[in-house]
Amino acid sequence: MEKIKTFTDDKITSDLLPQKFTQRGMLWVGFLLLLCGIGLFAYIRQIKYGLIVTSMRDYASWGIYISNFVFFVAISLVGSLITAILRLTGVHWSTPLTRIAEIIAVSAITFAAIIIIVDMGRPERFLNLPLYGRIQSPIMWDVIVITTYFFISLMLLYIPLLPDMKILIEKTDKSQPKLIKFYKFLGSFWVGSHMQFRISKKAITILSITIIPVAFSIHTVTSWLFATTYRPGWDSTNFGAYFISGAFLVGAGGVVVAMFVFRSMYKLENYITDLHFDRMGKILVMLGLLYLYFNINEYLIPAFKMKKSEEAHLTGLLAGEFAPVFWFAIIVGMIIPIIILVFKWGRKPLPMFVVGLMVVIGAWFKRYLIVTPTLLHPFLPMHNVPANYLHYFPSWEEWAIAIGSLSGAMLVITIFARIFPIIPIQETIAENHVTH
Amino acid sequence: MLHINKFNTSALLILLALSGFHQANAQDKKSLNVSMAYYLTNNNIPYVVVTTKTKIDGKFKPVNNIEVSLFLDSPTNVIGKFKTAGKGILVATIPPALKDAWNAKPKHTFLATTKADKEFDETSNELAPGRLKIVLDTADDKNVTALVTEFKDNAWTPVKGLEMKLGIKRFGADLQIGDEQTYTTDSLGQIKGEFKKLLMPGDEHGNIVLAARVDDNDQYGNVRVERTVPWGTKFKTDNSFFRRALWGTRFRTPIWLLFMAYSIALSVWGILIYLIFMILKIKKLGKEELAKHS
Repeated sequence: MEKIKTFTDDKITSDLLPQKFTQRGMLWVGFLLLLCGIGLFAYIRQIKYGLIVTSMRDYASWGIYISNFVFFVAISLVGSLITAILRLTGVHWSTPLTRIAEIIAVSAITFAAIIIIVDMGRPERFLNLPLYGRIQSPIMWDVIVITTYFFISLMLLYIPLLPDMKILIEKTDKSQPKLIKFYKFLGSFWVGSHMQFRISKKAITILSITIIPVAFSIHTVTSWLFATTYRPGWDSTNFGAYFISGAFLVGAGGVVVAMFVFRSMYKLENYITDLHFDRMGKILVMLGLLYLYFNINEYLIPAFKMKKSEEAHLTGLLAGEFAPVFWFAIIVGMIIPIIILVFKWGRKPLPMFVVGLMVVIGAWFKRYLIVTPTLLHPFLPMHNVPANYLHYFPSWEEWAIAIGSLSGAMLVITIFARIFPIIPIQETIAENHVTH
Repeated sequence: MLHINKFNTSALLILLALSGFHQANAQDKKSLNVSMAYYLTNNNIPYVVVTTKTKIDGKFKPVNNIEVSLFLDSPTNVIGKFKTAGKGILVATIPPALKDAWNAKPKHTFLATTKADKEFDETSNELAPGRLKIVLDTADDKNVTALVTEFKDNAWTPVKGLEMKLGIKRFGADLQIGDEQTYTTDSLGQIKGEFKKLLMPGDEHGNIVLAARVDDNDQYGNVRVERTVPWGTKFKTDNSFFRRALWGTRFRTPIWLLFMAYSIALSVWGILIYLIFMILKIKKLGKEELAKHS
């Protein structure tokens, strides 16, 4: 932030205007489209033949689709962390990160909704939920809160974009008339009057306040999908807080990865500086420690008691079938990142990028560990069932769909960054004027 | 010569095969078994149950869609024509038109006939149940007595040595009232049983239904008499399923939950709608500003 105060408005504008895809960008988009296409093909197969194409059976009825859903919901919470919490607490250094956080939130929550429909054997019956659903069911609460969160995130993305629309309409290359038409459709009415700024500022403040309880609700309710069921590993009063702390961690990790990629690809070193990485690194350490604390509570205390009903589940996680994934998620997803990030050198862009990746990948597997092992350890012993009911390893269709959905979320972010400035232009100029 | 011999041999084989086929066709008709059972409950209108079966692979299997003509005593008293269905069963009640014929004689014969068709030959059967009357009586000391008489020689005569059952009517079947599974009538045509199921759930007033019955008797068929007694415990229906509760249906949501869920959702969505109005206001202001400048 120190550097940009010497820049002119025009320099900031030209630096931050969305840029056409380079050859590398085109390749990246093509790669994501290919993964999405394979996912779509797998989904068509699933629709055609039914859920039998998956490895989900009577016991493991929730597999990587639901893990993916929890992961998406978790990562979407970063919108409320960066945009709302930091904004409301008067933190200004996070300005260049707000839009990155918000687009991650919007794309993640969109794909969370999509993946939950993918998990349904009969997706056309989804409408039965609003038509005949019971408000007593946490699934119903989840649907309501996800829809609400999606709209709030969308508005939190759109309203701060309005001042940039004027700049985009004026500065976009005239050889892209369709794009300019699209900008005009979204915000030709923005003239930048004092009154407009006042209303938009008020709207953003209201949204920032509203999104925090909704964001807490969304992941608390998601945790209740599990915690309201009496099963080993899910029977916890701590699940809401445990999920939220994990969500903030993975969300922050996702933002760090995106920060590094956008900074490198769009040459934004003057706007996303080492300072941003350093501060995000400190936030990540705090969130990592918090999540580790909840993990100790969730696993160490039950393991200390080792109740008979929980024994098989805990042993499976700590030293059994799921131990490699479990320790990978704990060590690679939490402990190593915390150790790296406590050192100043660890909070430099490249180590931060690596740490961000470790956190995100660890978090994805952590969601899998929350969902599936519990289902494979019911209270009643599994007798006289086919061998493939006793274990779960996703089929290629499940992998393709899960990877396709992750690619889809990244594609939305990539295309957004191609159309809109990934760092708010007007806000950056305004802050530049203030600091100047 | 060899050709002629071959032709003759083939023709002979075909002829033999054809004659065998014809004989097989003639023997293909299966025999139909028509059985009848007589039922009388609470001395009301009696009815007969007719079952049609045939032997397949050494086992009797029910046959459906067999038309059975039923008569009372003679072909002039037609009970009706019926078709067997389900498990080869039909149920026929004596029609009101045969009331006089029924009352005219103390004992009757039911006749059942089926016509010959492609599969079965003509079949007939008859059943002549004795007219039996059971009077069920109870005492305050929870003893149950049943008096069984038969209409014979223009008088109701006690039936001796008849095997019977005493039970409590439940869903689907009867539960025995005491330790004995069956009772045999004495020389007075009586059986006595002690009611031992003291905590038997009854209806909301504690009423239960006792039954005395004769089952599948060759001479009398199935005769049953019921009597309601207040010997059960009062049963209070558990209506908790129909209360507003977390486990209830969508229309039985607890009020507090409805209030909480809707007030939270409406508050948040109210804010969102307010924000949409703010966007519209921004839009309006912008258009006014643009209009001013143009």
